Amino acid sequence: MTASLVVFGANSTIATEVARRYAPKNGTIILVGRDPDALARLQADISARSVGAVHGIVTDLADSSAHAQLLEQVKSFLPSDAPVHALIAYGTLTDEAKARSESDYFEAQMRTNFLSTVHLSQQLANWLDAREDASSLGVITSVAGDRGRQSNYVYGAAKGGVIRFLEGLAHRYAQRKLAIIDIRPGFVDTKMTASFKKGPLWASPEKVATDIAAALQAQKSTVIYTPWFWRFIMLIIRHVPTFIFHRTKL
Amino acid sequence: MENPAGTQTLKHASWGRAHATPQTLLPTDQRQLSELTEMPPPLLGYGLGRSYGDSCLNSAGLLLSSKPLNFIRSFDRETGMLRAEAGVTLATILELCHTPNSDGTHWFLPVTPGTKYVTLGGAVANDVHGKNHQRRGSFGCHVKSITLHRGNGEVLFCSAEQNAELFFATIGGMGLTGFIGEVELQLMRVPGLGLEVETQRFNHVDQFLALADESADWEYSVAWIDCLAPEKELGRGLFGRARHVGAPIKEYRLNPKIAVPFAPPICPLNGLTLRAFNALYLNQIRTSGWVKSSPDYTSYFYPLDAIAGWNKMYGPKGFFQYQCVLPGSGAMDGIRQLLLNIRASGQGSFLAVLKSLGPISSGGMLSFPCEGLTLALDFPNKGQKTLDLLASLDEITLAKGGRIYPAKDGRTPPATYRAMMPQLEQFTRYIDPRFTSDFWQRMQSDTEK
Repeated sequence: MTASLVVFGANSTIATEVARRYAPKNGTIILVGRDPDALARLQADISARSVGAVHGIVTDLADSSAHAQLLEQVKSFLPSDAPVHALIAYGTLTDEAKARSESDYFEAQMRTNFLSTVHLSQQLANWLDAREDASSLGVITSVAGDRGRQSNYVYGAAKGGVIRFLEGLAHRYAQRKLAIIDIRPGFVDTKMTASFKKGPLWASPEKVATDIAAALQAQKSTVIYTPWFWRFIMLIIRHVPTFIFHRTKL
Repeated sequence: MENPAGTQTLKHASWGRAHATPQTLLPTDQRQLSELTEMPPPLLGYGLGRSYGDSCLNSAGLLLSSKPLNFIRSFDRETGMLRAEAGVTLATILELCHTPNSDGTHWFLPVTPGTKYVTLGGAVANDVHGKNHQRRGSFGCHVKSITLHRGNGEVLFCSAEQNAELFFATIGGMGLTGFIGEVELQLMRVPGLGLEVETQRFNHVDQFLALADESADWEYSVAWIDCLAPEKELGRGLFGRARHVGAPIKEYRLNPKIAVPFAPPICPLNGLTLRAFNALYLNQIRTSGWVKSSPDYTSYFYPLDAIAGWNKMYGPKGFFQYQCVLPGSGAMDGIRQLLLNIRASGQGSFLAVLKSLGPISSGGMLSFPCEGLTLALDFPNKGQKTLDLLASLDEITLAKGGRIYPAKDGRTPPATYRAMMPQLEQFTRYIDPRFTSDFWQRMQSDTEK
C-alpha cells in the first residue's frame, strides 16, 4: 500500500519539495502549517499533482497544548492500513543577539525549535508505534546541533536537544516497526536563509528534499546529513580540540 | 531607488553565454509582486534563462526571477485545463501528465520546445514552438489567459476576450509588456506517453519537402541536417516523424544524467570535431527507407536535457544560435543559400534543425513562426568572423521575406529586425514604461543620438 505523508510545517521550502515528491505516488498527503493563505496555495499545488487525498490543517505547531487535538485530526484523515511517513519540518532561524538580550524571544525560540518539536515527536512516536504498519518519523534538525558554537548556540542548542531526543527514541524503538530519522541539513537556499549570501557549500531545497524522501521511504532508523559531505565536515568540527576551537569565530 | 534586499548577481544569465554582463536577480514571490511599484526600474521578468541571446537580460536594471512562483493553482483532469504561476516549468507539467486518465489516455504538452527546462512565463513570452507546429501552432495557441502585472501596480487578466490587445502583445512579447504572473494552459489529450518514431536518411536537403509531405498525418516531424556536408550532399540528414501511442511508459530519467561542471578554457568544438560528430550522428541510419524505433519521450523531445550545462562546452566565449523562418515557395531555395553560405564560411554547428512551420498563428504580435521552413543552428563565438557570417545570413533571410527568432538572437541590428517585423511598431504601444530588456535597448540603439 502506498505510504501516507504527514508534513508538520508544510509551508517550509524543504517541506514543500518533499510533499511534491510524494504527490505523484497518489497516496494520502496531510499538510500542517500556520499560515492559512500559504497552506491553501500549497494544498492547491499538491492536489493538482496528486489524484490521492490531500488535506490541510492550520495550527501553530509551537503550541504543545494543541498537539493532542492536531493528532486526532490527522488520524481522521488517514487510511488505516497504509504505512505513515511523518516529517517534522517547522522551525525558525534564531536572531542570536536578540535571543541573548530578550527573555521572551529567547523562550519562544526554545519553545518552537526544541520543546514543541520533541513533544510532538513523542506524541507521534506513541501513536505510530501502536499501528500495524511500519512507519517513518523524520525530524529536520541541523548540522548546527552537532556542536555548540559561539555564532549560533541558541539555535544550535535547540537542534542539539532534538538530536539527543531522537537518539533516545531510535534506541527505544530499535526492535520495532517505527524508524526514527534524524535529518541534518547544512546550508540550504530557502525562505529561512533568503537574506544570506550563498556560496559553493549551499544546497538547493530540491536536493535536500530528494534525500529526505529517500530516507523516509527506506523506513530505517538513521542519521542523514544532507548533502552527504556535511557528515565529514561536522566530524572534523566535533573533534577540533576546545583550546583551538575557542580561538575561532565559528 | 535602492535595490530591494535579497538580490543576487549572475553572470552568463542567457544560454549562449556570449553575453557576459553580470545581471542583478531578485527572487520574486507574491510579496515582491505586491511591491512592484517600489522596485527601481527598469524591470524584466526572468525564468530559467534558456533564451540564447539578450532577450532575457536587463543589464540596466533588475531581473525579477520567477523561481519562487512555482505553485500550480489548479489542474482539471477532466478537461486538461491547467492554471499555474509563471515560474512552474514544463518539466513539472510533464510530471503531472504521468498519471493516466480514467480512459487510459494521458494529458501532454500541446507544444513543446527542445528543452523542458523553461518556465510557463518564458514559454509564453517567446511563444515557443516545437516539432508539431503544422498541426498545433505555437505555445500561445493553447494559452487561455495570462495574469499580467504592470509596472504601475495594475494586475490585468488578459485573454482573447479581455484586454485582448495586451494578451496578444504579451504572447511572444519577451516580457516587455510586464511581469507574467499566472498562465492558463490547455493541455492536449494523447493515447499514451509512448512514442512511435520513424527515421529516414536523406542525402540532399532537396529531398526534405517530399519527406515532409509523406509525413503530413504524423504529429511530429523534424530533420537534423549536417551543415558541414560536401556540396553535392548539401544538407544531408535524418528526417524523423513521430506520434504518441498507448504503450506503457518506459523507464526514463527525469534529471540530467551527466553535468558539465565548467566551461573548458578553449572551445573544443572546431571544424574537425563537428564534422566527425555530424558524420557519426547521421551514420546511425545506414539503410534506406523508414527505420522504426520507440524511444521514451524524454530522449525524443529533450535529448540535450540529459547533459546539464551542455552550453558550457562552447568554452568561455560561448556561442550564437541562429534561427530564421523563410516563407512561401522560395523557402527551399533560401535554405540552400543559407547552407551554401555557412559551408563557405567554414564555421559550423552540431547538426542543424530544419522544420516545416504551418499557417496556424497564435496571434502574438511579435510571434516568430509563420508558414514556411525554419532552420536553426549554433555557431561557436569566434568574434567578428561569426558576427559577419550571421549578418550575411540575415541578408538572405531578409531577401526571402523571412525573419529571425529573438529568443535565439543576440546581435541582429535594429534596422534589420524592424525590416523583418513591421509589427514592431504596433507592439511598441504595449511595452510597459517601467520594463525593458537588453534586446529592447539594442532595438532602440540606432535611434539614440
